[in-house]
Amino acid sequence: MLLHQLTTNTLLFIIGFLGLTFNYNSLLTTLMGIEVMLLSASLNFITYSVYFNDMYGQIFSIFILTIAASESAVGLAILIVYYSLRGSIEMNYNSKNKG
Amino acid sequence: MQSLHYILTIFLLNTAALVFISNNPVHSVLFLILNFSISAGILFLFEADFLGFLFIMVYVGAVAVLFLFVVMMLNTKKLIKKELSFFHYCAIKFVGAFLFLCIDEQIQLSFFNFSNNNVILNEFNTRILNFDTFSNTQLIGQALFNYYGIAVLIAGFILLIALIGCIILTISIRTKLDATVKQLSRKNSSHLFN
Repeated sequence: MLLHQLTTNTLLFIIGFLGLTFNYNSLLTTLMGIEVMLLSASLNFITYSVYFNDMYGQIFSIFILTIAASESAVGLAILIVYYSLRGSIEMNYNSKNKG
Repeated sequence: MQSLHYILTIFLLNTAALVFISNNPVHSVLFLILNFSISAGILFLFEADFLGFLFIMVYVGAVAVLFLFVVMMLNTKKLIKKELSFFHYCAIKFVGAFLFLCIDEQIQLSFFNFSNNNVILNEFNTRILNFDTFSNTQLIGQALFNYYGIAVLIAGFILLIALIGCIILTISIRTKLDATVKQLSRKNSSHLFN
């Protein structure tokens, strides 16, 4: 069951990473990818914490939660500023990078 | 319980994939909420109750709702999903398989180093987890505020910085002036008595 959960966490991390790198859609998907990756890291800490009967993995997970929340808030604020400057959040480099 | 864990795991991975596959941003945010909820369910299964409730409160209640607000606020209907070519799908699958093999090898190595001690493994499998007689919440609170006080303060400071940063980023000079003019030109009497 430990190995199963660790494999799940790895797969979740890889799904988040691939969604982060291979999206041609919008900048919003990038932030979602970062969230999924942080979730998998947090789950990995908790899994090992439960496995070793140790408390400190769960405490570290709380700090990861803090960082994830503040990161997503700042990222979304930057996204709103980007939208008000550019008019869209598309990832279309050809038309935006003129000169 | 084993079968429940398998089912939750399958749903977790599928919803995580659907976050990135779905066309509509609202749908992908809703799948993100489902993903966080299912991970909270896995934590309940691991008897990490406090973290499970914290995941529901912070991730589902704050982060995902923040995403939903932004999706509703921005005009995302203009977004057109580009169809990926066959080459792109092949590249994504290849990179994913390569990363999985790289990480899984390390996990297997570390796992078999641990599994020499069969007592811990059996304990994990039968889930006899008694952190003495304390509850999970009590134990986290004891450790967090006894040994990690400075870390808690730093985490709170990071949250404060994020708050101030968000406000400074999203406030623009024009809206600030508009708000000031509106506030100064408002008549107090009409505001109070009408």
